[in-house]
Amino acid sequence: MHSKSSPTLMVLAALPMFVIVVLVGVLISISFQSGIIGTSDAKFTLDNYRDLFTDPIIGEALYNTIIFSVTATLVSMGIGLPIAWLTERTTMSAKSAVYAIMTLGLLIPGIYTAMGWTFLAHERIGFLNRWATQFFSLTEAPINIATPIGMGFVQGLSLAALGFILTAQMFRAMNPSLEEAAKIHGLGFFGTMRRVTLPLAMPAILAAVIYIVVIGIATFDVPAIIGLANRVYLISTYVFEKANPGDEEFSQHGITAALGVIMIVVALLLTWWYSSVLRQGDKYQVVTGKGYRPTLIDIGHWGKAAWAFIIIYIIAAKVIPLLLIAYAAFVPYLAPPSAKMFSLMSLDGIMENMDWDLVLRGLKNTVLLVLIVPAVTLILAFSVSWLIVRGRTRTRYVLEFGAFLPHALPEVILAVAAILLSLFVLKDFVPLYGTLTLIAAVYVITRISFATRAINSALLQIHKELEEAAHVSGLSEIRTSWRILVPLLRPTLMSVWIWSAILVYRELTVAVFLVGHDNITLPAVIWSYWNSGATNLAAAVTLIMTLVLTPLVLLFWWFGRKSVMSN
Amino acid sequence: MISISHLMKEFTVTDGKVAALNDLNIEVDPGEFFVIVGASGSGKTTLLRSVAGLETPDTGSIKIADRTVFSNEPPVWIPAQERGFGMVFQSYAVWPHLTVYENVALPLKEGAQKIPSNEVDGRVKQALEMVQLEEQIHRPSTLLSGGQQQRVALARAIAVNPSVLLMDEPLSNLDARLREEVRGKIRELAKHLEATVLYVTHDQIEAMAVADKIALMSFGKLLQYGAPIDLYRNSNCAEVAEFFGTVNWLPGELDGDVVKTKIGEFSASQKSIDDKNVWVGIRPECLAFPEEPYNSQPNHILADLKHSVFLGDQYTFEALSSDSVLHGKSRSAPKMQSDRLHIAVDPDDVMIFAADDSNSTFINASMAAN
Repeated sequence: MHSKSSPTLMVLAALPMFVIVVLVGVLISISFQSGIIGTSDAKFTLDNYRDLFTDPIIGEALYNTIIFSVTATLVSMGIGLPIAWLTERTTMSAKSAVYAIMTLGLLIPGIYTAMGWTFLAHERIGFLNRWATQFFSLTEAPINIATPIGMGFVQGLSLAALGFILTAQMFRAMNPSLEEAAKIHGLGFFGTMRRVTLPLAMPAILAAVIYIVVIGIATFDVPAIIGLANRVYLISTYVFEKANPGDEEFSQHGITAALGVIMIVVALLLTWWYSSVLRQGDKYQVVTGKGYRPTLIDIGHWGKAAWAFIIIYIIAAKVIPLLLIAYAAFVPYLAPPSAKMFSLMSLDGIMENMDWDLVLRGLKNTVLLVLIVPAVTLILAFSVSWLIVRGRTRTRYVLEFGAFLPHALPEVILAVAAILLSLFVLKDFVPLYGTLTLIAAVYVITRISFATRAINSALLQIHKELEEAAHVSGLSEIRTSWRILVPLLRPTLMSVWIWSAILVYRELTVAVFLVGHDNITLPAVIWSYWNSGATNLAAAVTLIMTLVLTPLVLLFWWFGRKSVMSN
Repeated sequence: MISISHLMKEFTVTDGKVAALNDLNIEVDPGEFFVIVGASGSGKTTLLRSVAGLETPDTGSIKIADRTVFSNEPPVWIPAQERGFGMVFQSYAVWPHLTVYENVALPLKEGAQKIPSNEVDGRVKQALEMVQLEEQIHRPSTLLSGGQQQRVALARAIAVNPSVLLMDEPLSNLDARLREEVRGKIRELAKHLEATVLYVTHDQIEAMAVADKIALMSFGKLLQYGAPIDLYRNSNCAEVAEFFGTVNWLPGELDGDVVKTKIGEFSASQKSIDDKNVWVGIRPECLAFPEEPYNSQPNHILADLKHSVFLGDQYTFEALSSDSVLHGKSRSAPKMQSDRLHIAVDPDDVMIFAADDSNSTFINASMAAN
């Protein structure tokens, strides 16, 4: 289109970019300030960085984070990769059920798994530990989930679905004739696997690994649920401790800002590595022409074993945690399930101690966020996408990078930057601290990368002349968008909308940093009960949350199926 | 009706800038079927899109019926949706989420023209009748064949009673048989509606079949425009002559009224050149076989037949005369006179071009390619 059009789109697209630049700018600027930061009395120094590197806990947190990420990656790929291969390349039965289970796995929040596994394997209260010490008369608990490896294991269970989705696409796109050529020239099953399949799959696997490592480094909810109460810190939970210390200490915002800047640099480097690995993979992009049909490897009765593997995974990662949460909500104190415990189950504990005001406030705020954030995200992402895909000016490269940036920025850091912005820059002029608006703004920023990418690829499928035909026929820009683009993009817009709604609904990273009395969200209510030791109330709120989540998930399902069919 | 003057547009490419439109001046009369033709990259589509308002030229002006829709001095820019044109796109751009009826009705209902809603129904039906699609009126547009979609696009374009109809390679996605049929119908329809049409194609036969006037573009420049027969017979340069059909090129020297070449002398009935070095151009179908024996008069050639091929409606042949290959076409088989071929050319069919840089460069490249 010509440059004179679409000022509205320009403004809408520039808005999130502006916020991102401001957030990063504030973070960098405050990381170099000490004294009374955010005022003219602030001193510009490197003190924050020096304090950070000399803090004895930071080394331990870094070490823990590495162990945690490696474990999470190994577990998630160890589960996700074989299931992806089995589903895409073998004769295993009921494959659409595998996709259904894995998508469901993606939607059930990691905090569920984390809570469930705390009940199972906590050093003191964990049921497995209680049973083991009882049966084998041990003096010490054999398992401790509140370790970097334990938390990594739980995170891995929760990320396995993602590992599956990322690698299944790769197996699907791989040209089977390359494997057939190896077979015909005398390589056996394992020879083909080792010399052809795996080397071809390597770039995609490596890319998936980097992707999951990045999530592992920045993730907050699982380490916070399991580790914080036991004072096992990762980098992300260390940031939280610095920003929210106990009552007698001051928040060390300068240090969190400095750590944030370093994390952004690391995240950008990893993301750059990720995209260059992906490009590497494109070189092997063994093109799948028309009439391409993968020959499936006959695994015969091993199909049953494969299904057993998937079922064990889903029980360990999702079913047991959900059942234990339900159990924990109704028992008066935490003890392994027994006839006696079942007879003690009642609603009394919940009814007596639950602060219903708090729960309702959380529910109301969360519902508001679910209504507002996905809609705003869609409008902004649509504007950005349109300018990226249809635009001709160089600004589109800027937009492309800008829309991609939040994807690389850890949510913890965006949350910290938002706190710093509201406390030290906007201050009392625009009192955003402790408001729902601040949370909503950060949510939109964190969701915009995914939304933009999804709309980009959908928009690329729509021939430009369909829009031009409308313009020449006399339809204005807005009408063209509304009558032509929006209907054609509807399947994508719907699934992005619902996906964003689900992620906003269950969000527990940004929320933990930004909530106060008035703007608390439902997941943050769970978090505050959990953190104060009221596990039964935390479990009860989790159940309430699940009741609301289920219809959303079903909706996602339904639209997902519809958009698949219409393609 | 359409008045284009000094239109310029440059595109930035990786190694510098490319002029898509290079100082273009064109006048299209009301009711005229005007075809812009040229190879890909000639700028023809950029020109059409500039008239449509989908592309902004750098400088110059475009006027439609005395209304300036673009000009850089003073700056004027009327957006596409306010120009009131109809346009048929190369991909048809039939909106896939709407039915046939809705595709035609949407511009009427929600376009800039604001047609009264009680008229919409009649206008849609009338337009669909004109393209013989009234039976498909309520079908989803995705269920139509390519030819039917093309007609929906056409109906949508004419339904708004546009002052100007723009068509961007409207036939290029149809198969060859359908193309011939549809191009005749498009011309018929345009004449019936008395519409001014600006039509872009890369196909010279299609251009000649539909056009009142043709403009030939090459690398952003307008080479020549006029009636099809003028461009074919009175081409103003070698490139125009060869665009509309194969030409046998012979270098020669002008000597009085005749041109001397290696294979004999030629004289043309029309000649407006005083250059000494010239190119003689003769089209394959202009090589004739006279009854009388060869007598070294101007416009007579003695050649050896290399080979001839029977193609049903015609013979094609190659003849060799003093190292020059002549390509020919004829209704009857090449007629031999004692093992040799006597060829004669009508003076009306002899084209003479100055052997200047642009003609010579073009002809040498063209001959090297064959």
